[in-house]
Amino acid sequence: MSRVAILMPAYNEGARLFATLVNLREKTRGRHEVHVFLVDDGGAARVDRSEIAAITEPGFVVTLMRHPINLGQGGALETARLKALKHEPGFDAYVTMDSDGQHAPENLDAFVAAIAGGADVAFGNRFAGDSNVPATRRVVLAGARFFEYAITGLALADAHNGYRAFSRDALAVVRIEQGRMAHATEIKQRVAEHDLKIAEVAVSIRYSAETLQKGQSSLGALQIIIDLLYGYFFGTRRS
Amino acid sequence: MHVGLGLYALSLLAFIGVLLTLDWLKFGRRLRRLFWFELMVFFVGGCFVAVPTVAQEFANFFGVGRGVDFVVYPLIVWLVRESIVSRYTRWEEQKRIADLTRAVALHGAETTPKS
Repeated sequence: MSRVAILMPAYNEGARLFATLVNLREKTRGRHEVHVFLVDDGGAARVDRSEIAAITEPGFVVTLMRHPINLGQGGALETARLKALKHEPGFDAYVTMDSDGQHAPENLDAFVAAIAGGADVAFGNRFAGDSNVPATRRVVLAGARFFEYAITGLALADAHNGYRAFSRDALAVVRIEQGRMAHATEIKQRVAEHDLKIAEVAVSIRYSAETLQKGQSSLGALQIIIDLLYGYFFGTRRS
Repeated sequence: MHVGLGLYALSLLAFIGVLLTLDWLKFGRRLRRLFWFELMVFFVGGCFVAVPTVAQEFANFFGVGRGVDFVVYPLIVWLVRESIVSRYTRWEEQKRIADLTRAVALHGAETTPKS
């Protein structure tokens, strides 16, 4: 049985978060020991500690951290990353996963296998799995894929997929400075800087009207480019 | 000395007047020294707008060429530098706020079930 750390940012997810956690617990029970590093990212609806405690059990542990103010998904992932790295003993794989239920826990096995097989980082590929990606999102992601290849040299089939896994050593060097959505590109920049061995894993992402409404808008791509530009000029070049 | 108040010069002076009024209401009563400094700078700028020959005379004195170059070039250089410095300062401040927020979150982390 493998030990898996889940790095999960949550912002105003409400019932979706609990459904995601319960689904994760049910789908991994008996197959993985799961420790969720959950970061409540300063949303208006705070995550209830007692409700979280009620769904945990031996083999499904949750560490809850609360940001007093919203830092964005990248900022929350960095908090989870730091906490997970401090945990001893370490985990077989460190997986970043969204809290809105889009990422299927069934794909965890493939991520763990990729890391066990020698990959430093495994990126999810929603186009190889059973995903219902909307057409507009496909167009934006195609542009993002080209953009990321141009600035990182990594030719991945899927750009900006939040479902990914790291080995402990890889996670230690992938420091996240970008607070908002540009962190996805920043992670690839760190991976390229440190010449980490990568793998791609087929994943299923289920889009619903609700998650599409709440999620990243296509116009957010412009903000990502601006944030990356700031990061290029002001950020740390090497972690 | 020629006072050339065309339509554009009048509009610019009106714009300066509106900005001064807004800033007086926004912070002028609380931050008197800052407001007087702004008033002084805008007054000098207003003089250049209302009496362009003043800028020309300064330009001739310093050997720059046109009066407008004398005023605008240093302003652009300063504004670009100011923009870069303020964006960097904001980036650093956001980083400090993020570090503090993260420290609070890590300090208050709770694990269940407790091992």
